[in-house]
Amino acid sequence: MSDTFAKNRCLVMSEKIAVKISKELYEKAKKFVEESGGEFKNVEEFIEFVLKEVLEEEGEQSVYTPEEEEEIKKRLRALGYI
Amino acid sequence: MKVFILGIDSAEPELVFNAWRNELPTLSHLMEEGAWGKIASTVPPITCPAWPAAFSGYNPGHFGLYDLRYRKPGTYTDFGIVNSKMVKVPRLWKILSKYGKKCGVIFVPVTYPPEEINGFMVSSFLTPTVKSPFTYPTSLKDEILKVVGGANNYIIDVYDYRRKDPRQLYRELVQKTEHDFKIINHLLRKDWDVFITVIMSIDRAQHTLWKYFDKEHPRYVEDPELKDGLLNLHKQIDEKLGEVLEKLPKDTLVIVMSDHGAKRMYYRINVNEILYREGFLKLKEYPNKVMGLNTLDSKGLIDWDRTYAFALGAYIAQIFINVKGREPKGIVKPGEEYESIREQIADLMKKIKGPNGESLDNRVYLKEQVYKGEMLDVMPDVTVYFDNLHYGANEALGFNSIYSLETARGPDDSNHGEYGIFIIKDPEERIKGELRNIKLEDTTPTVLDYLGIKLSGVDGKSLLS
Repeated sequence: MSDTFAKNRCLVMSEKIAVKISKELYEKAKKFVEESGGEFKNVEEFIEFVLKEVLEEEGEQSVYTPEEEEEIKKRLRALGYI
Repeated sequence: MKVFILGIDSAEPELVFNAWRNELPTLSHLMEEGAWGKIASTVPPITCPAWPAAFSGYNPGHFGLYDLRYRKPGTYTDFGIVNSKMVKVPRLWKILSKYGKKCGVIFVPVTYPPEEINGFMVSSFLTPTVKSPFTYPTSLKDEILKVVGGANNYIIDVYDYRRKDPRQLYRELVQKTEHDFKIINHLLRKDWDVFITVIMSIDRAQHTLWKYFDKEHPRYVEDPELKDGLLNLHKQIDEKLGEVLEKLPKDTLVIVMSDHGAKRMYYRINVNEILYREGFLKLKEYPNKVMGLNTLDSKGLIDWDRTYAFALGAYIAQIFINVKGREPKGIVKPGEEYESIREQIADLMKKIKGPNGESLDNRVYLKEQVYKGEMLDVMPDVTVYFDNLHYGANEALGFNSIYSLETARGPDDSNHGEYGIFIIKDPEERIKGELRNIKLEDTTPTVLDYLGIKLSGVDGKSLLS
């Protein structure tokens, strides 16, 4: 996690907006940050890291463009597989 | 020691080991000299979970694939096509690359986009178009295209499968195998320690050419020209394999295997029609013509707020419970209610009879009976093999019947079978004779064991242990 985080840290956007999260989740995140041994400076940094990870993973799933996906689906539909 | 693995997608043990054994000299010779047996496929026995299971050693619950497509997170029926990046567990070529072994990975399903490995890779039938970057290294693509005489001659898969005359289809499948072996033979001249390739033509042929040789098939057609079509495609691969083996060094470990088998298919069962009739799937309006689940959903005809379960699957029924907190509009509470609904559906599916009231050998699998791993949440809650796969499934609605006697999607001669073939011939003759109780996941630990690498923590085990 440290390597990935170090790599991503420089990508943190300069412009910020406020987002509200539940107090309970915030407290949990805060505890995680405190126990992370300095890996995360604060909750904000931690949340940005987690969100980025999730969004990248999501992005990884869709490697096909909509046109490419349709091209494959056309072949698979003809095969009766979908 | 070098390792050469030929995958013959969908090769059926009953045909290869028994009915056609004498017609396939290369394969029967390998059986005599080595070890062989039917190998249990994944649940379901479908290409996309099956090959990644074989080439990782992991149960599909670890990588979350159950079909060629997947439900995009947060949706019911927005389907994506699976790709190599979804397989998060390391596959054989990645492990071997770490150990400095050079790998050739050619036409292996679920390798698009191709991965960076110590060696070279050509993706398989889930490559979108010839324009796509389907090789590693990228520069290999031009070389491959030259081998077949240019981009226009590169064949990713059979096209317009359902609209083709079976004779034309047969000719194209012969051509596809020829094309694939031309590339394989070219790449075999490169430097490699482990070479893995998968041929798809038998899978494509079986869905259409089965009824020409199987006299017990309900739609059997006597046709002197096509009666040996499927057999000839097997013979072609057997002959091509023979030529390859002659060129390999004597100390090569050879494995020939399939990811699942095939069996004659009678009809299809309309699973969502059953779920609808029994009150598990609620519709706002019954469709006035046959519609796929995705179309029904996009037209807003499914009442998700009142639906308990729905099914996917063209050959094997995969039922998802509309679980609260997991599905976008889930209503079934996890725990007791989930168990109760699932049990009712499992009982219902077990009891489904044939169109003339005949009993069917329906096999019902609950998620945790067949899957394990970190992706359990995305796997189907119930999987059904109707009449142990002699009946296919249909997710479309609007038939006004629970049977599709006239199959809506054109030729459907065969379904997939739950066992594939496995033949292994090792130069040291460490295993010989008939193998029993083997499963796809055993492939990777076995290959690594031969190369002196012990793989732990996977679901398969080495055949040498």
